[in-house]
Amino acid sequence: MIKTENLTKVFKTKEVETTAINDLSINIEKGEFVGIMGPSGCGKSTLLNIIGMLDASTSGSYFFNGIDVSRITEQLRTSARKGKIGFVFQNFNLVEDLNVSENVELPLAYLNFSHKERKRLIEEVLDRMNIGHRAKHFPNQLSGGQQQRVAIARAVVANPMLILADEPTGNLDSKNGIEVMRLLTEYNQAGTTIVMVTHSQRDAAYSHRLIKLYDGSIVE
Amino acid sequence: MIRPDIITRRFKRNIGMKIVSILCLSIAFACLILIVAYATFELSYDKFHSKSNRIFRLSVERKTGLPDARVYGDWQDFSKEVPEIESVTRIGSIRQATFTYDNKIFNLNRAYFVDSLFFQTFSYPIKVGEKVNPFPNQNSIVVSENFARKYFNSEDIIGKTIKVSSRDNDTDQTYTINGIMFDFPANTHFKADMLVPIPRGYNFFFYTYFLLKTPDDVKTLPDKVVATYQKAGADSSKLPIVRFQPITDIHLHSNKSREMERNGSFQSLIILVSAVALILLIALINLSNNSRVLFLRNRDYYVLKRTHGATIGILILEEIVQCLILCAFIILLGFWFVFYLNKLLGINSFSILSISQLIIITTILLIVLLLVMVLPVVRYFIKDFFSRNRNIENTFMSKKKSLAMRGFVIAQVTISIFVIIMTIGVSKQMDYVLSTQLGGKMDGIIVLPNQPTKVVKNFDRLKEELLRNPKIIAVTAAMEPPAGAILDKTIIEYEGEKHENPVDLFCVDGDFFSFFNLNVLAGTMFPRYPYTFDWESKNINITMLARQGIKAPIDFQPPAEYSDCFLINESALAELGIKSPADAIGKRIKLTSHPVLNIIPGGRIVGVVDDYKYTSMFEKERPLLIIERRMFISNFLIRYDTAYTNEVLASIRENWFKINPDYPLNYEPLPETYRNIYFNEFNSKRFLSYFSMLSLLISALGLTVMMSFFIRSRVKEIGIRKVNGANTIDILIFLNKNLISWILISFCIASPFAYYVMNRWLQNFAYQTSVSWWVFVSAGIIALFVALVTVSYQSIKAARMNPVDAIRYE
Repeated sequence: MIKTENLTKVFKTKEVETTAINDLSINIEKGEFVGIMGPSGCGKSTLLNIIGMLDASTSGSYFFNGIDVSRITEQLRTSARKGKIGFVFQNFNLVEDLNVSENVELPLAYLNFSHKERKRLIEEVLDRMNIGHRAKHFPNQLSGGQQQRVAIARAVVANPMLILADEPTGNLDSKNGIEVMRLLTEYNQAGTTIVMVTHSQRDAAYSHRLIKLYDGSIVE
Repeated sequence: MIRPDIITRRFKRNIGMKIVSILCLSIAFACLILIVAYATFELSYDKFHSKSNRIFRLSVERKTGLPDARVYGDWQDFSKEVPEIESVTRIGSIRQATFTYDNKIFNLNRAYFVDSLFFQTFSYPIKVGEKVNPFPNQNSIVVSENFARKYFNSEDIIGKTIKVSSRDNDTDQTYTINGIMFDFPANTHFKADMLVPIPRGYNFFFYTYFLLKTPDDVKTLPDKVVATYQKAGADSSKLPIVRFQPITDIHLHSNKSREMERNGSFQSLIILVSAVALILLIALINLSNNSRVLFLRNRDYYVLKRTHGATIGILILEEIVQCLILCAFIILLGFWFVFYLNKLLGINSFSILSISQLIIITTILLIVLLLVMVLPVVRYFIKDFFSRNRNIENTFMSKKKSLAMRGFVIAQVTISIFVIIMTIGVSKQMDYVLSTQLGGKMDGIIVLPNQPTKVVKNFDRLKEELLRNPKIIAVTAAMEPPAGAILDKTIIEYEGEKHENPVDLFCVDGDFFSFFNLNVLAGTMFPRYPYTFDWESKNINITMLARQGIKAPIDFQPPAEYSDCFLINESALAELGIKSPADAIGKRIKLTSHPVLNIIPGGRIVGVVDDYKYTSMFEKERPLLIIERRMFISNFLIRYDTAYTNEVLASIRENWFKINPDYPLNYEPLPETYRNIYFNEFNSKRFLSYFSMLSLLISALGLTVMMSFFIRSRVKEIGIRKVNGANTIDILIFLNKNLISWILISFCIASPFAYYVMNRWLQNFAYQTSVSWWVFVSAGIIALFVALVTVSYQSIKAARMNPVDAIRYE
């Protein structure tokens, strides 16, 4: 499902050139739960952004579902990931001005689902996340755990084939962290591929295999 | 501690927003200076007279049409009977005056008959000659410095003699220059170059001014005038309305026919003052919003300085210094704009306003600017800004305050839409006025207005010569210039019976209607007019002599009874109770009261024309009796092929000087004539156009800042939306839907206000265009278009932002 060949990402400023990903080749199959670990600044999040088509590589190839998406425009990348990839972030990234239901609705709004269909999907996913009763609440009225469950609900509501999670438990206490990992595992067991960046050994244990990065390269 | 280098460095931060504030406020400041100067000048008219509060001009208003600024008679007996009156003085314009000196003839536009009390009533000082009564005899005249310079190039002209002729007296009268007066100031309601004593026995219409003993005496005078009318046997149901108008009100508050000069308009002044006030308001709203945004951007700076020991006083002082630098730029640039706009608009603000007035205006503006900029910051600092441990942006940019900022933007856009609607509405009315006057047939017509009698005498020759040129299509003449007031009235007998209301009389050349391609509704145009200028002149002299009991010469054959031919307009049909145009043909009319136009005492109606709207659009078309005469058609009109303008003008010039070698040629295109008549309205239209552009510009700059603030506060949301599948178009819609809703709200607020004000303004006209829906929609679309274009760069940049950068943004 995900295949990179000699993937390189270089960030350039006027004075400094930093190689975040260095000649990286990986292969992730459909249905896998892959953990990515490594020290701060080793390129984990950059790799996740490239896999999620939020960013483009400097060189090398990236095949998503067998199609080379490494040289397509930003507009095409948006179309390519729409409805297929869900994102979960460490800091939740919920829109403060939208309530729980509206936040979860975001990906559906750009997929042309009917209003009725959107409503059904949102209710279903919120019930599954056990936060249906907070549907009309705003993010600042929720606890961290609840906010992350909303973020997961938003990531999965369109039934994507891939979930990319960037330190999903980093801002949570251990109880809520376990709950989030349980939810991700559930979706993985249902067939969704999951790629998760983490610093936590405990969270990493939920994955089928681990990719360890150091200075943009695989070390293990 | 306040260090100049840090202050300068901080001032350079967010310089774009500061430039926006400086630009907007300096434009508004310049407009403020200009409008204060203009209003000061307009309101100062005739206040320089030492007795200005005791001088009143008399007018008598009938129920129909615009009232005349003049009244008939000398009013000497009345002033002697009424103890409140100190004196009365009269001024009469000398129409179509020319003077001859050294065998050269000059046109004279500003010559007046005055009586001996003129210089004791008004404060127009004499420069050379007898100061109090410079008219020792009937042949003494006083001229202005300008006259002396223009025609004699010297002020050493006392004792020189000149000959003066006019429409009312085509025999040259010889006068001796007995005094030179200082040029009349610009802020007086009439300016004269020559003052001539009123000839003995000359009793006609005069501008009549009363000098009262105290200003309060004016309250009782109208009733006393009405009483004289009643005493003279006037029908009590037809008594006129009598007004005594303060001399200081004439310039701005008088809109009568036959004013001495074109007056100003208080309504136009109010429109201008309001427009400047709105511009200033929009600019202050911009400043307020910019200050709030700047405050938020500087919050880290305040917190860090406070954390390291700065007192609130020091922080406020630092803010004040920043604001003062901004104000200095605003004021300097504002004065630069004033210098520039002075030249453009022909107003010399710096000579009208004193230094102290300029300092007062600048100081008031400075205080307002400081209050707008510093007060919110002081409020933030005093209200727990540093003591609460929570997100400052949430505390100080709460939803409520953000709403306030949006409210300000909506107010700005509302004002802009309001001004745009007014501009389009006023333009529409003025277009309507021009298209309705004489059916809008304006192109290729030039007017030679107010010709002296000796030139009128040569009209037929001139017409014949001009028509030899195939590029000149038609030539005609009329008693009044287009859009001028028709003032001659007469009592008539209709079918042998006296008609109750006087009817307006209008003299034209026989080709007048074909000149304007106006058709008759029934009957025919004028048949060939059998009389000449000389016959009319002779007939008038005989009539005058007959009044003194002198018999007509034996060889003079008076015209046969009912031998004249009349055209009437549709309004006259109704006035005379005639059911249809066809019924009017052949009906007999006799002119019973006009002193000179009744030289042919009666005639029959030969044709009926529609209400073709020759007079101004300020008054309704009145019943009109149209006759042909040779002596009174002093306004010439020439229609020509516009492809040959230069050739035609050369031909007119050549023929003019061949036929009238002693008289200067003055002409103007017909649209120019209309522009002079509707000067105040066209001025309002012009200034409104400037103001709508300015208000749009300032609002657009304000929107740019607001949009930048809005986008900055939504960067993360844009990122989240993009991560979740939003493309560039989705983000553009997301960003601009707020803007569109602001403009919709503004539109809904501005439209009813504009509708109301527009309708009030239209009440000035007897004929009004409709306030159509498309005027409003156009204004809304213009505002929306300008707003979207203004913010498009920022919106597109934000929509194309890398989502990875956006979601990291804090």
